[in-house]
Amino acid sequence: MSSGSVFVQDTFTDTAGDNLVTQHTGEIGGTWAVQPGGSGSEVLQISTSGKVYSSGVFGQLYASGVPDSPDYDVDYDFTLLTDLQAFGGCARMDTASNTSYMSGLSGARLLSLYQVVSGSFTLLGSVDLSGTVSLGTTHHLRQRAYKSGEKSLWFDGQVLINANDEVITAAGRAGLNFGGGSSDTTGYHIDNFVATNGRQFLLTR
Amino acid sequence: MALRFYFLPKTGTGTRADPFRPSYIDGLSCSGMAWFGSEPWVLALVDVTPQQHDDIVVNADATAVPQNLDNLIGGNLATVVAKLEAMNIPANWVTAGMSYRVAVRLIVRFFQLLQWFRSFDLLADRFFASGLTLDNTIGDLPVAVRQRLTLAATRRGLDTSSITLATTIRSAFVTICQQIPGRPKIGLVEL
Repeated sequence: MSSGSVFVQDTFTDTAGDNLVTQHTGEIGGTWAVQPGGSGSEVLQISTSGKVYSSGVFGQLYASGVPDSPDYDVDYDFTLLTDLQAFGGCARMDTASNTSYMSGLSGARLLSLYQVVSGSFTLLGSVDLSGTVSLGTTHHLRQRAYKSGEKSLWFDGQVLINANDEVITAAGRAGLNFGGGSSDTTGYHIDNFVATNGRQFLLTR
Repeated sequence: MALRFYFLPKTGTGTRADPFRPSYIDGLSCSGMAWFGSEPWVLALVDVTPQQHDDIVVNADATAVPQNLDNLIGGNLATVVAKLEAMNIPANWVTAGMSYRVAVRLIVRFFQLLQWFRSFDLLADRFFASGLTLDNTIGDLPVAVRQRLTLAATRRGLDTSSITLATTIRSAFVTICQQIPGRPKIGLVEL
């Protein structure tokens, strides 16, 4: 697989009410599994509008697509219907422990990025989006993890958080983290999940 | 509002609700940070009003970097050295003629080294375990710690051939980190 290529793509197009883990497969590398460390209520469902929401408490899921290297981007659209607990993307997710670089928007519309090691959370950056995120409006988030140390969050194309951290070095998987019970018409909905291998620029003679 | 760098102590218990985070800046926007490995210090870039800045620096263990990173350290040299050494950050290379930007750039390299060190055993103790100081030697380190430090450097192509068991930790850190190329970025600030 060449650099800059997509290794996970999921538009969450499926029957409303379908469980993401047991009843849905995305377009590329889109078979989802539970990462250890959640509440045990990891229930993500497809909505009637073709998005995904969490009706569980909190947890993490990773997609089956395998990245070329530890350098990649995790992109998704989100729509906040009502303010609820955090929901966001993850990079470098370990499949056997609660370890990842985790991002998300809290119920207070605080966008945060964390380093999570065996369930221990360390903040890498947080920005207040309460004046920027409107209920019902769809926004785009990109989470980047590069070996240079860059661990960044981009909101609607602008970098808002850029931390320097290279503690979790294994490529792991791309995925989602979530908390709080949303429903088909409330909470935090995600769509168009894409994970892309980091682009490497090669000099040629 | 102004973007300011601060060296801050760690607070929190590490849970999702109470993550490890910089002290004194809860509720403020922080567009990036770099942790000193597992050590209890972090460099954070924070958006502050003058009052919020005053509320941070009133704490004796909070250190503000001047807003203009291109100011020279000048007459603040002794203070800068003392503050860094108190956090186990080597400071013998800092000079009065150096800008704060250049100084913070190398400090972030020290932070990166201990992040790489930690990556080889995520659950191990912090590097500066009880009693260890910058004046200790490489030979004073437990073998496993010495090996992880070596890997942290050599896996990234850095030369450790001049470092012996008699080399102080202070000198080893400087020798390794001065080789790291490029300019790190925190938030939108290039150091």
